[in-house]
Amino acid sequence: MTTSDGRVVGTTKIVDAGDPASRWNLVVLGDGYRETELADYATDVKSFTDGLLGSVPFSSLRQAINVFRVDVVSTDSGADDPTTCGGTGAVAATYLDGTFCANGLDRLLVVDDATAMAVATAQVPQWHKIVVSVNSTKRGGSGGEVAVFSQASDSNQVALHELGHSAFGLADEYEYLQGCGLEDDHNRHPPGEPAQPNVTTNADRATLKWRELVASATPLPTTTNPDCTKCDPRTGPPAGVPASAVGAYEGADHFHCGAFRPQFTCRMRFVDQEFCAVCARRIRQVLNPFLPSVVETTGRVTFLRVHDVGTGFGPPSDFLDVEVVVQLDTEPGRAFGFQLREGTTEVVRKGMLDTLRTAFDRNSPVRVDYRRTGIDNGVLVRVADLP
Amino acid sequence: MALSEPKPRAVRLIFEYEGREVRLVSSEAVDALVPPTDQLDGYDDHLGVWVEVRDADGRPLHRRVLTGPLEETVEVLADDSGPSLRRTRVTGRRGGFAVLVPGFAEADHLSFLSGVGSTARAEGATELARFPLGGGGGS
Repeated sequence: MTTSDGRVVGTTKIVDAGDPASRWNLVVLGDGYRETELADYATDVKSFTDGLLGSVPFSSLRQAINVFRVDVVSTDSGADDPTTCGGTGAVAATYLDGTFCANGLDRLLVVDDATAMAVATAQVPQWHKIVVSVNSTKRGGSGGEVAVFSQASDSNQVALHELGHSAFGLADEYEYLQGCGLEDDHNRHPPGEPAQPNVTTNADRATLKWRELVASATPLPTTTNPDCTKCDPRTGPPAGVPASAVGAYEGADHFHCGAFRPQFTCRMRFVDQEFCAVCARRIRQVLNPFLPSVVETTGRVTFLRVHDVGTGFGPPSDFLDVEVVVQLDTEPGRAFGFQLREGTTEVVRKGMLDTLRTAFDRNSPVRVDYRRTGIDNGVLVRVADLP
Repeated sequence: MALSEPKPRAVRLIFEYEGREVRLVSSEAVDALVPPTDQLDGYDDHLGVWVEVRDADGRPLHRRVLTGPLEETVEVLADDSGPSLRRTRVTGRRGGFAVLVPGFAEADHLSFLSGVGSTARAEGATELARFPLGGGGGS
């Protein structure tokens, strides 16, 4: 029930991107793991971390993120599961006091926030975000400053959604509060613009929040809900609009109408989806300062274009003043490039272009090092082919 | 001549809340990078809750939109197996959260603001609470 029900064993840096003073530091704590279950805890944390760093856009931000695993031993295994919510009635003596049925909601799993922050501060003073892995296979979790997840099969996905809120300031993109068909006071969004970057009440092409990501051929609004008393029954974008198209789809921020989301679906709408392009851009915007000045990435070349001086590439806020433009399969929505005819290094730059051309022709992977110039794009400083 | 204390790179403030009542629990300097500020202007019609580090004249130096704390709903899984989430209204919600802000020499206070989308009424955001930062961000 309290910190007398266990102890903090120690901390292991399981993902090392560099000095904590200059990286984004994620701290994972465990609750409801007995001493004999610490190996299981390490496995659970690895599963969560692999899921995080294997997903878009975190897979391209690995060099910005440290992950620390804090080993916490509890007297008992699991979490409280009160019968008032239909639980088993289990009472577990655990260090962070994990319990289901918070606020009378069966699947709302919480821990003591203050204790979690105190442990994180003592172990990793430079922490930016805390997540707690609870040793229970019952489905549940919660968001807030301390994101909590259990070991049910999709809990890692829920934890990523909650990180979207608490670490990156993203809004829910689903179009209801309590559920479709369960409410009649969420038909139309109230006046005013949501403060979050991934929902809007304004679908005007000239002023839309994410207008730079909308193709000219994509209609705006991209969808409208034909009946504002209900959730839009569509199961996909309209005919002719690609599934990945960024636009303005009506139904977001807990309202059936009057609010728009950027893509048909996103992890902020359904937890089993990837983050949409707008959410991914926001995450990059937050984490970019934590990347080293020169970043390394690898992938296969999906786009290679050489054009005239001054043509450039990308939207005004992320403009690349380059002659050679490259896109990689591992970095969707991003572009890299370099000037071909510049100063005394023209021979080196032509060599970089030759390497890229060969890799494109052979569909073989390359490693590129780039200097960040915007949210998504960067200038290449080195290219190497990979075996 | 005595040298002034170097300013911290960042300050972490930890708060407790119940409903929309916020209480400062601790404030300490941290040698860490701070995520970039959210936009510092053009949000007069915005809905939501955010914090601002302000100078003595009330000018915002750093702004962060809060998503989670002070909300009157909590998010839970919608059903036993699907990928959907839903929210449920709760009253008197309690918890804790942290705000990491840059250690600006000009920082005077941290304000919690609630926007009600009121440009047309020219009312702007409402200040929910204010906490002194005592120069350099720490108190």
